[in-house]
Amino acid sequence: MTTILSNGLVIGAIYGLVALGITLVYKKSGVLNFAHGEVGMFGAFIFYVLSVEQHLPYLVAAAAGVATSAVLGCLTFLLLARRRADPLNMLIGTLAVAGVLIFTANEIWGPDQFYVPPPLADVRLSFGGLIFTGSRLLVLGTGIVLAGGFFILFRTSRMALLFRASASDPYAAELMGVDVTRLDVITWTVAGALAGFAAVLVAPLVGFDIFFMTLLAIRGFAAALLAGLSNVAGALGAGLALGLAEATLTRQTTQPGLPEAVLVGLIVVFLLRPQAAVRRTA
Amino acid sequence: MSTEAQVKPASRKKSRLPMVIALAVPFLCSWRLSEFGNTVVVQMAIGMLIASGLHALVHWAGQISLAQVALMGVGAFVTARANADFGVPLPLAVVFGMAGAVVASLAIGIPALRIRGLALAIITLAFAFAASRWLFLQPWLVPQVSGIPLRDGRFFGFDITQSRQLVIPIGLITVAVVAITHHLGQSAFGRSLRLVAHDEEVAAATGISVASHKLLAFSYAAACAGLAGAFMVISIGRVGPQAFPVGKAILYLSAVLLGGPGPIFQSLQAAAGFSAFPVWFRGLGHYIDVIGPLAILAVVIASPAGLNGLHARLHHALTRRRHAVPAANVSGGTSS
Repeated sequence: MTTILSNGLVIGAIYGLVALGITLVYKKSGVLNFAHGEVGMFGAFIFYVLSVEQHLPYLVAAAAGVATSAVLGCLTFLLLARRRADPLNMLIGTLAVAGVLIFTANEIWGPDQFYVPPPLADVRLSFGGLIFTGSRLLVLGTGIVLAGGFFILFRTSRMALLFRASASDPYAAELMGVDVTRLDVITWTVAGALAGFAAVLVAPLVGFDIFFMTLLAIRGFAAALLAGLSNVAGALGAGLALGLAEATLTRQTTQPGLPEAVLVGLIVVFLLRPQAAVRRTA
Repeated sequence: MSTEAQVKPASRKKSRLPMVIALAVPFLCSWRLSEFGNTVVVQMAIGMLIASGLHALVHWAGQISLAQVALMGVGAFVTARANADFGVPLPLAVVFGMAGAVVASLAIGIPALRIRGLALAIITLAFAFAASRWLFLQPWLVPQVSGIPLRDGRFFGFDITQSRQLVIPIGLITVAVVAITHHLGQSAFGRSLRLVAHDEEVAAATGISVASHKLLAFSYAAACAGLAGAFMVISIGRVGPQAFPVGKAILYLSAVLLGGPGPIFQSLQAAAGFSAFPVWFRGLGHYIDVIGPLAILAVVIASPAGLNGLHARLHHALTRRRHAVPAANVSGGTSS
């Protein structure tokens, strides 16, 4: 049981981080960024190259990976910025960007699995009966710190006020002197960085390939949707809940594809209580 | 005023004619094409079938679905199992395949009664992933991962191993489905669907059953996808789960969104192009994978109104040039 709980929390923190980035972009631009996972995947591969092939220190390689994802997030927005008034055009655009990134990654690194040695491998800590290795604790800690940071930021900072104003009514905000485009650029860059954080943190825990973040992003989308696509702190909570549910199911059966069936379970949730997300989304 | 009203529909019909001809040419000329050429035409027909239903769902009912390829898979596997394991004749097995896809579509159609727009995109994407990574691996649906081989060798009397023959029934059924979809868009039902998409409360106030209209739109799109899946298994002979990747659903949705909310023909063109291109230009190898996304990006960036917008701009540019030429001639004549 404790293993399920610790695994679920770690997986859930990753889903939460991914969901956080998706929620930020949706909240600011009203766009579902389907390239979110691929932006993170690219960061993970840069992290791999610098850490494993170039033997740079873990922190330097991780920072470079996160920065790469941030830049790609920013570039995605700049590429599609002319169409930002039309969420559907933006959605197709992000799908196309995802396709281009997958192709490019496949050209450079191929379809093979890659491995990165986990950081803090010799560290083991126990909290209330739950045992975490250093790398898993790093994932959980980063997820909680980032979600907490964003929660406080959204409550207190002037930037968050401008963010909410421009998200609520971009035209009025622009008339009041708010640089809406700059805020968009910042949001997409930060979301890209969050995807990079998630990818760099999860890469040492599993063997990863060019599709690993695509599957994580689907769970991230589900978590973001459960949190109503506009609740920053709720995104992490929904991610944790999804991770726990998946860890429990995975533990109880070895049937292939069952984690994906959890997503079908989400459909059932929406059959029963769709208003949980929809009213807040509207 | 009355003259204007008479002229406008006529000019619209005129502008659609080249598109209808462009879509019909591959089918009409199929007897002149090689076996490989006919294979491409069959793939185009499959793409057009999916796009027909998806266009109605996306542009008329206002629902986004990324699950159409999963429903196509359900149609394919039900058709194959009905024919291979239960001895159902192929034409009837195709109907079973369509029915299977319609039943599966209710899993996303019912949540769609409460959810719409981008949230629905996520749900349907989840359904697509669940189908490709779980449903299509279940032995009760797909007993062999390598695919289910069909028992019958003929479809309405045509040899299914020869694209040159198969293109005839598939082409005729595709034309019929496209005509039905086009007619549906012009009908009272099509207008009701558009009203539901535009404002559900107003639609309900005018006595339209919002729930049944949405479910019917999902069912129609699913039936088209099921039919496309059935044709896919018939054209290939045996089909496995890997034939229905999620990426394909993204491509078809992109085709329909690029086609724009106008007449169905641009969506059909885009879907036919996306379906034929990988087969026709398979010599490009894996580079084929990036051409689709790059083409989508180019259209999204260049034309916010999708292919409709590109057509309009092209038409405008050509008309302007046509008008400009006599003017230039006149000025040239006076100067000389």
